[in-house]
Amino acid sequence: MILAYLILILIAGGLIAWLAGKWNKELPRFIALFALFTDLFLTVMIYLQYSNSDTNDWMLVYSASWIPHFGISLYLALDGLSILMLLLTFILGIISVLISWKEIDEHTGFFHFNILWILSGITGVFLSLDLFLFYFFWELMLIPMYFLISIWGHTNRIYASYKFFIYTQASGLIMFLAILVLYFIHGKNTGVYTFSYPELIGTTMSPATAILLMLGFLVAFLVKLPVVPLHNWLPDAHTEAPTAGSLILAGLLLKTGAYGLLRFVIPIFPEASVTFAPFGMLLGVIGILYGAKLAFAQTDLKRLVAYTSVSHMGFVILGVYAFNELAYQGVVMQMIAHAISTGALFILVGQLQERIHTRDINRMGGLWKQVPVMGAIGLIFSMASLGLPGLGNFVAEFLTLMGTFKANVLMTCLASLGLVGATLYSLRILQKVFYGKERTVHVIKDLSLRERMIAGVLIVAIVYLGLLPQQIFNTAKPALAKSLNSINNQSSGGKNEKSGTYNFVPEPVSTNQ
Amino acid sequence: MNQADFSYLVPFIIIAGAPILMMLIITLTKNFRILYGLSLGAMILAFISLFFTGNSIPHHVSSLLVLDQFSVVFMMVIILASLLVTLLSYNYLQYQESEKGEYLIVLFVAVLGSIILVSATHFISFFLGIETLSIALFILIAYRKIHSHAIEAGVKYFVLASVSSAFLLFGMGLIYANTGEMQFEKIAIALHSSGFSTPVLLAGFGMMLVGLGFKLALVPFHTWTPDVYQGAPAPVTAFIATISKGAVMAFLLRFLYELDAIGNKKVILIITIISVLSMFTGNFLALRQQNIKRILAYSSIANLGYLLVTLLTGSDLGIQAAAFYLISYIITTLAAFGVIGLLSGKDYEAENLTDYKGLFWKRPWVVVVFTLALLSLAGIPITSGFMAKFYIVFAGVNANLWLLVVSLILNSVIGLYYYLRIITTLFTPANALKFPVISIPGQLVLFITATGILWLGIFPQWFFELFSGFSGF
Amino acid sequence: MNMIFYIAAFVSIISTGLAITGKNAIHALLFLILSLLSISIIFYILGAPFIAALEVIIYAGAIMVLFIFVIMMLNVGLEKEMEKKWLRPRMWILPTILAAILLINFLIMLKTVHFEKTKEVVVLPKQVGISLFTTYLIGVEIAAILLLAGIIGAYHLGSQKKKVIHRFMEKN
Repeated sequence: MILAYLILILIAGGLIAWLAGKWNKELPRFIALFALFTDLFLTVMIYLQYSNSDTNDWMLVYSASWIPHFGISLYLALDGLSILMLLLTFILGIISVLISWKEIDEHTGFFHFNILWILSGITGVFLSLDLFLFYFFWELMLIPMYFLISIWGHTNRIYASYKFFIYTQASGLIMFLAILVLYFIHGKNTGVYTFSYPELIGTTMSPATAILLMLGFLVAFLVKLPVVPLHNWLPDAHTEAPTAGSLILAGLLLKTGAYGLLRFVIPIFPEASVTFAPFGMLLGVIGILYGAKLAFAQTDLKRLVAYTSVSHMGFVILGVYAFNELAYQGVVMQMIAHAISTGALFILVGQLQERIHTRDINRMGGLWKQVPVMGAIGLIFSMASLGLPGLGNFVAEFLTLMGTFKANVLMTCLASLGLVGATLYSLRILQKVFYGKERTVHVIKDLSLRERMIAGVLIVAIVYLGLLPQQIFNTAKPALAKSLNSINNQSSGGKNEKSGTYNFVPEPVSTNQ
Repeated sequence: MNQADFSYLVPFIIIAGAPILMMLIITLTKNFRILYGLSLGAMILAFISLFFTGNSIPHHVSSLLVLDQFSVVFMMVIILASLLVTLLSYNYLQYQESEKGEYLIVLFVAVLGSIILVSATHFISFFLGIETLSIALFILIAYRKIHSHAIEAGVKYFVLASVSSAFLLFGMGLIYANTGEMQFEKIAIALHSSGFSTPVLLAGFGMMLVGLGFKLALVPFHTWTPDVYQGAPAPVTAFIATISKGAVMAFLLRFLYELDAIGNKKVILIITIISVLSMFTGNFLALRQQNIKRILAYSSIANLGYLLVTLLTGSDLGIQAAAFYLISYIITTLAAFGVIGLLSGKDYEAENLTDYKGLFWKRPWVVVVFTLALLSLAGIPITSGFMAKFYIVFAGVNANLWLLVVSLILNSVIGLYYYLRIITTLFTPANALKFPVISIPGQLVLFITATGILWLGIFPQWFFELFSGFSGF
Repeated sequence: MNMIFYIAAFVSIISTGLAITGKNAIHALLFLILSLLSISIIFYILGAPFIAALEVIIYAGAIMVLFIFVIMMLNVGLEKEMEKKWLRPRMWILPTILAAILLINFLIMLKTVHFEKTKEVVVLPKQVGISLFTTYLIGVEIAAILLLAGIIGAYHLGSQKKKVIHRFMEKN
């Protein structure tokens, strides 16, 4: 039950914040913070309770009937991977409310409603084990995000919001079609018509069908991730969104794509995934290099950061298709570290824009003298972005590359070039913005206490990830093992042997915990 | 006809008796409130009376009408929807200077036509139903006669309704000539023995499809829709878009299934082409419109195209999907036209996209309802439109109708664009025009429809179970 | 008998076409009457003498005459001029020819068609009445309500108290 509460708190919080916005402008901020802290507290409690039990099972399961007519249930479950993602979601959620404290001062009620609803959709995505429910949440987060971009965004917001919405919705519908086909194939095979993920895992189908269905799922996840031919919406959406929007987009929305790959695509279509792996890795390498190249060429600071996301997410898909534990740990680490480092960079850009009213890199320069604190923070996160040892991103990228090396040497070599690219664009940010000659005279204030605290939290987090990553590895390990199991069983020829393979999956029984 | 038949005819008698009673009252008093209250009361009474027919259905009343689960559910929907239309009309009738009561009388006649249509099992009752509906609608469309738009729309509708009636009659004549029967069951038996292959039969069938295609505004018989939608007052447009189309669609479902016409390859081909064409044409033409009523008109063309997919599944699942989709579509469209109607004033209709700029910041609740309606039309979760589209895609995938399912999905994406355009306009920061205060009946409509959209979108189980009884006729 | 049908059908199609395309309302109505008359012949040879009679009495008789009266009354004042213009041979020759063809057709029909010899079943007024008041009673009731709507509509739309705002004028 507690899992359902996690989502309900956010939904209810959103509605209350909206209503409260009618009376008082500041009230919604506190309501949003309260809702998010409650969720964070609950998640931490669950984490503390279950982190030491080294079970391979789900930590918590909640199941209730929703539309039994079609075999759809409210089937939520939590494992190590989800709980990491949830912690990330609530922390970034809190930060996104905090950074909007001064930036958003109109229609705060509706703004926080949107923030909370996006977060509830994301929470739902990380928790659902019913494919219909998963799709429901997958779509639920789009509309508020669309509002966030189209109402509080920058100059070109309408265009960007359309593009974002249509890209994601179109790809989502394709996934939905694939889900339905999977449902019917499973139903016709077994006579049990259900959207329940554990049941659907063992579905047997012809390889050609499997590939088609997997592509249907992939389209949705790769658009979200994004992977290069489908990345077109991302720079616009990131650039035009308000800071909180960019933070959630980069930090959380992209991660839902990666999560979907790990949770759904690999276990449900192990064979097809193996077939697809070389292309997947290739897409990853293309993403890394192309993203880095484009990031280097941008003059709009926010767009630059957006393209670094494309590059970083390339490592994720590269790692996913390496099929070994090292790479998977790298992927999870990359998801978290990227959320923090890129999120921090977006926040920084937002703060800069608030102060000098431009994002054009050519009109900045020499800002260090005036805003040393901001400069220092910029330095730390640029270093994180280029993969400096000691910070989270280094661990992530290093592990991913190590893992991939076992799988495909050529791809790994090419991907390593991405690190050089990352160095180039990260240094360019520093060079153009904080060092060099002062191009224009800006009289600006350094970070306020609130902003310093936000930055402080993020710095602690990224350093912690860089120095003591073991906790994360331990948490994610059982969940990743499940994904890997399905691949290993498949490659060892036991693709249809259900016994022993999927027994980690619980029956969807109704439990109130 | 015997006494038992009369007890089943109670809803019809109430709906037919109310206008006669109202006519008599008009001779005594012109007090509008009395008439309005009476018509609301009569509709509620008719709605309640439908619950008491539920004991021993299906029941055939002579050979013309049948009360089975399908028709009772649709009659409920129609009467409920017309109740909402009546509530919406309050705003519009305020501005009407004379003959307010007569509007309500004609509205009742239109409702009668619709409920006869959904329970018709015979060519005679079908034709009378559809004519009653069209004539009444023509009068309602042109009711605001001092506006030439209204007259133009009325005449256009009238001429096309006549043409489609001619097609229907010809088609029915050909089928009758070939089978010698006018009752659907008997036609089905005749077809079963003789097959469905003779050209005359196919021609008759095709003509009926043309006639019904006009009523449903399917491509290529859709050209009247935008003009009529635009010219008619918003409550009447809502009636055309929801009740009239819903009733005709329900009839088409019953007719095709009872005749088992879906087994025929040629019929399948024709309906597939019409369906795909309707989806694409409707959505593409809606993309560049600046008038909300016209956008909704084109969107309704596309929506009917989606609905045809359910016909082609040829399974019980298809009927269930169609029923659910129709109900969702009716509620959603009522909400959308409700907002338009309620924001319209004496001399203008709030129909231009630019009128709605920044409305959200002035009238948040109205816009929330409108946005919900638009999202539902676009098929986004938590609204009924999502569940409805899910049901259709579900039925379509089950029947392996790949072409149709894929074009439905493509069209959902295209459609998204113009719904987003309206939504974006609503939320643009700008000063909205001054719109009239919304009357109590109007608020009620918005509340009911919004609740309906959310309820169907989040807890559809009850409806799914209700419809799971629809298995053939 | 086939010939009679085809001639009547031909006349009805031609006259209906002319009724639609005619610019003058009265002339159009003349053609419409012709069309209705020819259809009544078709009904007759199909074995429905009652309907044929109704077609003549109600449509061609009552309704059309009513129409013509109304339209003529609307044109008060211009009769003299109109009459001269309208009574040119060009105007009346075509309806006359069609009517003549129909008349000849009708006479031949009376001479040749005997229902005893054909396979058509003749439906007499009594049968029509019985089925109307038993099987199709509901249909009759619905039709009555339909007419009610028609009357109200005619009353509402026909009454011309208010000025009409034309859409081209309202733009100024």
